Amino acid sequence: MASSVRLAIVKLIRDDIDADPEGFWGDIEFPDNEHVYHRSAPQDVDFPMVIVARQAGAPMYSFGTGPSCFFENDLWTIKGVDRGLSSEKAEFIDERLFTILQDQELDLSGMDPPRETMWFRREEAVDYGEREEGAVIHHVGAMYRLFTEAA
Amino acid sequence: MPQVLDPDKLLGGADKPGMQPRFPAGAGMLAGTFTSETALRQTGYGYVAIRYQSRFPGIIGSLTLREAIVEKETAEEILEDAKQRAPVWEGEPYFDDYGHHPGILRDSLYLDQVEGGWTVATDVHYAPFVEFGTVNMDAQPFLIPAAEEHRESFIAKMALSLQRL
Repeated sequence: MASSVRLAIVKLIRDDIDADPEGFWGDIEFPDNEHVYHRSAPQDVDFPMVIVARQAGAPMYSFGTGPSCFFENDLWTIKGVDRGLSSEKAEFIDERLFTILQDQELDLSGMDPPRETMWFRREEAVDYGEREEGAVIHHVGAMYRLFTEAA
Repeated sequence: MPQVLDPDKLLGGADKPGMQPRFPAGAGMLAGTFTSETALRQTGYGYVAIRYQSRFPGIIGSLTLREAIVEKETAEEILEDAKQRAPVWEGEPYFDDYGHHPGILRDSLYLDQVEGGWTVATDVHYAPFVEFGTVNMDAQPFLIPAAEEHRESFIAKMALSLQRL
């Protein structure tokens, strides 16, 4: 199930990057056509990038049995990552991610059985840095809560 | 039959020890307000002292106490859960001069009382890297899943606790 959700999230982000309706991503200058990675980036990939990972998740059961008897309750960490002295670019990415993800309906029709988005909403900021060879890698993003129900 | 009292002795007598309203220990202090009132009512038997005593301070005191108990219990459960989930080096055990050893992240978790509740904390500097990952290392979430696991039970316990007021 998580893979369908991840693909839906990544599709939202990639679609926005490709269309770039507000000319936002052009300023970011992604180094390749991938941009968005799951859990971590491959070795030797240039910055900046977007990393998507499932942070936590547990079903909330209701009455009955089968796929309609629970709500999927997931937390996804979605963050912009950049290397350098300033976290500005990572923060820009985070702001744009908020704009394109907040309260969006994810396309989960491919799930078996299909599910529908109840809500997808930013919940908690994630902001930290790691040091690498004298430079700082900035991670700026947020955890988004996804609630789904059976379609 | 209501107790018949002499109004002359009663007037201004609310300060006497026997007239003090009884509150659960600490409730008045916790609530910050003290609501009671003594009134005289004339009946066919003479004046009767009627003491109105609000249960509100007691309820507030009990509420605060119950909240605190549920919060602490849940925080302890989350701490234990997080310790179970915290990744531990499974290779050859090592101990270096800096005090590093297998399980240092797990052993570093502790409960910290903060305003409004408790927090499960650690002073290990790389804890965010484990929880959220680095560029080239997958996250191994241990704290947020533990907190999420107890979210529903916390709400249920709190609701049950308040129902018993």
